[in-house]
Amino acid sequence: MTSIHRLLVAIVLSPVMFYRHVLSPMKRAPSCRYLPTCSEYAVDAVKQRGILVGIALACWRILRCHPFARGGYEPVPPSRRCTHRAEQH
Amino acid sequence: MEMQGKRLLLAVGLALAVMLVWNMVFPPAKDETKKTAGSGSQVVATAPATAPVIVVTPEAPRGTEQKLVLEYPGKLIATFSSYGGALVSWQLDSKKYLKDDSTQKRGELLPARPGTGAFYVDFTSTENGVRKQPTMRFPSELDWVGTKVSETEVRYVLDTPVVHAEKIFTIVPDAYAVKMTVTIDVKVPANTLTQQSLAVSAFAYQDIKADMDGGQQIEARIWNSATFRGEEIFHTNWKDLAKAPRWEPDIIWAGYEHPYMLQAYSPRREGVEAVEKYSYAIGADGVMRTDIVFPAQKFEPGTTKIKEEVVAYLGPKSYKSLEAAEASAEFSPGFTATVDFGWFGVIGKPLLWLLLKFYAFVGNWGIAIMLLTFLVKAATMYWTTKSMRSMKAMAALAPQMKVLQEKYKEDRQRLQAETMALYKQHKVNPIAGCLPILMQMPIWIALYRMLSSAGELYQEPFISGWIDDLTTPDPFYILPIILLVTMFVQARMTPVTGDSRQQKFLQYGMPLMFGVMAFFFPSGLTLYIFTNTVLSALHSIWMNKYDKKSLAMVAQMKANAEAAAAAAAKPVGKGGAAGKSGASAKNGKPVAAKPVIDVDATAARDSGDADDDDVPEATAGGSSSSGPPRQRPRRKKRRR
Repeated sequence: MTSIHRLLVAIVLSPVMFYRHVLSPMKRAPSCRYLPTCSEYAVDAVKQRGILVGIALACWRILRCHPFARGGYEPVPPSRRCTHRAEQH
Repeated sequence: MEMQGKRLLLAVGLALAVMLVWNMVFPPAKDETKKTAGSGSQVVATAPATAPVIVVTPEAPRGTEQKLVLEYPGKLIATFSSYGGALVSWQLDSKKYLKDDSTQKRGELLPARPGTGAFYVDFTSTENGVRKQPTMRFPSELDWVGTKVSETEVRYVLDTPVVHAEKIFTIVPDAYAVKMTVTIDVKVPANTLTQQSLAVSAFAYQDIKADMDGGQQIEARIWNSATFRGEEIFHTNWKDLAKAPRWEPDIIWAGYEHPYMLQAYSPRREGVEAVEKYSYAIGADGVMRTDIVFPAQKFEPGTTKIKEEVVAYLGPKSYKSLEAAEASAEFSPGFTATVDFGWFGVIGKPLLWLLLKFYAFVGNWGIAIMLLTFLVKAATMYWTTKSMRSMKAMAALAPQMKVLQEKYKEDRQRLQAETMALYKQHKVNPIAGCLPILMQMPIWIALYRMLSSAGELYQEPFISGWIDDLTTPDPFYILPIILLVTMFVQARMTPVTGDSRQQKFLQYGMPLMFGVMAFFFPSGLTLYIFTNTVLSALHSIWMNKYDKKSLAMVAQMKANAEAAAAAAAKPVGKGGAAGKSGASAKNGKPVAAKPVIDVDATAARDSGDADDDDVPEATAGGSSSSGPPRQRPRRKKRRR
């Protein structure tokens, strides 16, 4: 990651950080039906899949996190390219 | 170095986020000294000119001032003067406006002083936004002849050889509105006049010594010059206006704003060229002047007729009367723009509507706020009950979670999978999900904005002698102190789910934070927070004592936890996980399968990237050995 990219990621994730450190403690109870939780998911998504895809994934995840969703374990889906690289390791 | 960079980024990011949310809650003051085209134009006040100036001279020496007073008990008292045929005083006739000095001279939106007032007409000449010496002038010393046409209508006539002018004022007392229609027949040969613009001026006062930058209260209670141009209201205070006049094109209304009061003048004609604003001092008084400059009109040979209409709102910023004023005009003057609900107006407006209904029912704004809080709380009760149950269950599962965290401290994904399995096994799950909680936030923000900006609450008492004005902080700090105490108590009652650091913040930090902020909040808002806290506390007490479902659940969880702890003591570990996947066959597969395939494939990448990028805890994780086991649970509980 170049430093500019890091800065962009930090800016994009700053609302998530604010939510996590300031807002989330206020509600006292864990509320996410998924693991990783929506905010963890957002961080992972932006870091693993890039800013644009990451934001889209995170939004889609939040929209799916409602009382009628089943929830459960659902990490960020790896992109095809990424999986490939991971397998080479 | 690396870590420091990351921390810096986090700090910047957090600061940005705080600013974002802050702006959502308190929109920027829009205090803009933007100078548009021609702002540098010097105001040619009454300087003598070299060009031939036709001054509309009085027929006879100036007579004594004749005043017309229109009284609408309980609403307002309007005074018109023959000097200039203008509205010279506008006093709100309600006890509550007589209490506050900042609304000036006790409820007088337009204080009666020589030479100032509203709806003076004059001619002006501008070229490309630069003001020029007008070739025709209407001195304000002219004597107009006034007649009271009806209880709500006043007519002023000026008849000279040069012009015949007429002003008709119509007052809508229930809407704090006054409409003025001016008609001017110019009876001069065309060649003496070129292009002239009609200007309608209005004055306002602001104490020069007042603290213009705020002070203890969130918004300073001063009059600022304001212009609404369709999207935003631009504000300038007396001081800045004295430094440089402002010239603003395409206005919807122009006038003056106070946090809870408005004086706005809206021309009926669209595309009114500009408003010129400037200010000066007369002794200890700061005078602000606004000229609404209509588009220039070419004077045809012979008689030229000019007809313009201006509607003004001079009253409190209460939504109902603002709307009534808009309705009374035959065009849309945009007065309601002054009530700013922030981003969440869609929610704020219905909430205000409800509050008004409650007020009509009980007749006390403080009690109305409490009822509104009660209603919002009751509406979200279903979810809060459910989430409290699951909170309790989670608290009961905490020991088992600790075991898991110890076991999988190196492998975050595995830990997550195992945690999910544990939840499934015990059939607990955060009941609501992220979306409903995120959707609730706008309600609170809207309520906050509504309570801190509704003119309805201005100078309204809760319990007179104690809180006499719901828009100012509690003068004796009783409410903030009670709030602090109740918040402590309430925080102690909620079940413990987080780790100790977070718990400490919840138990001490939050009440302290809110308590301190409450010292500065408008007491209406503090009253709302207080009611909400008490209701939450009562709800928890009720849950602890009478909610059978959660009592039974907690008892069972505890038994399970003990059993699991006993099992975990023997090194069987994995057997438990296998049993879980077996128990929930449908879900078992993804849960069990994913960690095996996915986790191992991505773990390497993850631990190198996502994990150590995870900002604050990562530092601790690297240096101290006791870090990792604690950092995981913390993270888990915080990120929801």
